Amino acid sequence: MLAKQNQRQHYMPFKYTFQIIYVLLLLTNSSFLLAQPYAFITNQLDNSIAVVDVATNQVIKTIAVVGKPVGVAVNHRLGKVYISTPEGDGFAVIDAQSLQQTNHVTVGGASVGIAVSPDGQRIFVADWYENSVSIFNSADLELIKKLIVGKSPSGLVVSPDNRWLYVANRMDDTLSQIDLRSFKIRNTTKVGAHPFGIILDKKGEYIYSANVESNDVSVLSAQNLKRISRIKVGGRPYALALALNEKLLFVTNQDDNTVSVIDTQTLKEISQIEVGEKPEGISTHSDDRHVYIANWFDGTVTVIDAQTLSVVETIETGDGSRAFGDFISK
Amino acid sequence: MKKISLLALFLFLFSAISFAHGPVRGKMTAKVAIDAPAEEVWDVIKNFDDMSWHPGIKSTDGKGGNEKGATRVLTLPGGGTITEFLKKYDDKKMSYTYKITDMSIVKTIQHSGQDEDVPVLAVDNYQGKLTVKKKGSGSEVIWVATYYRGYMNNNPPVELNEETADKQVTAVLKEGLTSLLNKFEPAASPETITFEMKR
Repeated sequence: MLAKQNQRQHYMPFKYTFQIIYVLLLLTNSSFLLAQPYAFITNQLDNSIAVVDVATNQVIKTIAVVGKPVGVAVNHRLGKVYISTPEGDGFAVIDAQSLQQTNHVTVGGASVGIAVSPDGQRIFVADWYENSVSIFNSADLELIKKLIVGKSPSGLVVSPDNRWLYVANRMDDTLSQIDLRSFKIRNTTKVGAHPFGIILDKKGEYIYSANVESNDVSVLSAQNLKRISRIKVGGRPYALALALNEKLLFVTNQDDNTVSVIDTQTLKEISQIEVGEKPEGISTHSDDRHVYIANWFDGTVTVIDAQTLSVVETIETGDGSRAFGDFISK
Repeated sequence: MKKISLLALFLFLFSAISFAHGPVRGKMTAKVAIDAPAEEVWDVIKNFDDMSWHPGIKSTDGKGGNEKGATRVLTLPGGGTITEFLKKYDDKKMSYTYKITDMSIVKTIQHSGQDEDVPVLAVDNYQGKLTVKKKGSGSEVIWVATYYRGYMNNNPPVELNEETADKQVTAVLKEGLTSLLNKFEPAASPETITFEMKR
């Protein structure tokens, strides 16, 4: 007993040293808040978010979020996660460290697509019925601007320089490029039928859309929305993710329980990997190698190794796993 | 003040109504415990081209056996047909997944100034999965159906709304599972079948 106490006293100074370092790290580098990378999976039918520790691929917590959560956007700078709730009148804010819901922001209509600018300053929420995108300041969650866009806006993405917002207008079969300085639409281009998910490469050069009704992916120049190619994939493609230094593009095919793999050099489909039923949301781990797919029908997440193009894990998450958006913290 | 709160109430009601009208994919899960070995129960339902265990199906015309990509045309007692496609088949896990690719039309109605076809099952984008699991010395049959209502725009007619879709799907699942249960337990009540609907 006495010996134990002595030992504890002996280690005390070290304990404080670590705490001081910890606090210093917190102050100097806010992304340290997200030291633990997590996947935030919306379970639409369970009204919850399954938090998956992507180091162990275990669900470590399930957070209740009302309003049939669908979309996810991680604010990698602020350590927040925004969850769109189509039947919950806006979006929920979750703290990525405490894993608690901290706020709810009212948007109106039915929020589906949600995104954050790379600098972490602005949140973008697409409204399925009102044909608008609302822009919020991430610091105070106040509305900055509400833009009128095309019909049934869904996927959203912001350029690396935070200058351009891209919107997939599902019912118009178009993509729009919006100037975030003037809030004016710069270009609108026809793509395949019913574009839903979109993704942009890190340099902001190419943008890809998953076209649900035409079973293909459109490739456009992000600069001016010039069409480059259309690539046939599986049935009812939903969303996309890039991996392996953007060499490969992965696309969820809702109707075929597969993921199409596209070589971004040749713009050809090189493989189809079988995953769970009704694969929908898709995001890449910060290791740039493992791709996570939410399977709506099965209530699971499939993990694919982009190097071997094989399934390495299937994780039980909850009913109606959708996770539409950028759902893995860095 | 009163005006504002009335307006707020109106907006709230209005928004609640407009949400209720959007088509959302639902998931129905029906389960029944059967006092018979899982293999024996699976034996009855495992052939994709044989739905004779379901009293609601008059005949099955299948192509491709139990291979992924096989199809079957189900003819109902009233003469209507449903065409289905085999998406996934796993004999080891005693499970298969299928989707509806085509249906015959029962009638055409007028709604919002347009002709709307009412299919024999008032659903859209239907996918089903049948699974038999071991449960103690017996088994459990799980039938999952996911679908949208028949009308994909806002403000559906009664014939193509969620209530109608749910009622019809429940009836199909209940009739099939009751018949399967009574094959092994003739006296068992269909009340033991559980239904869970999530949307």
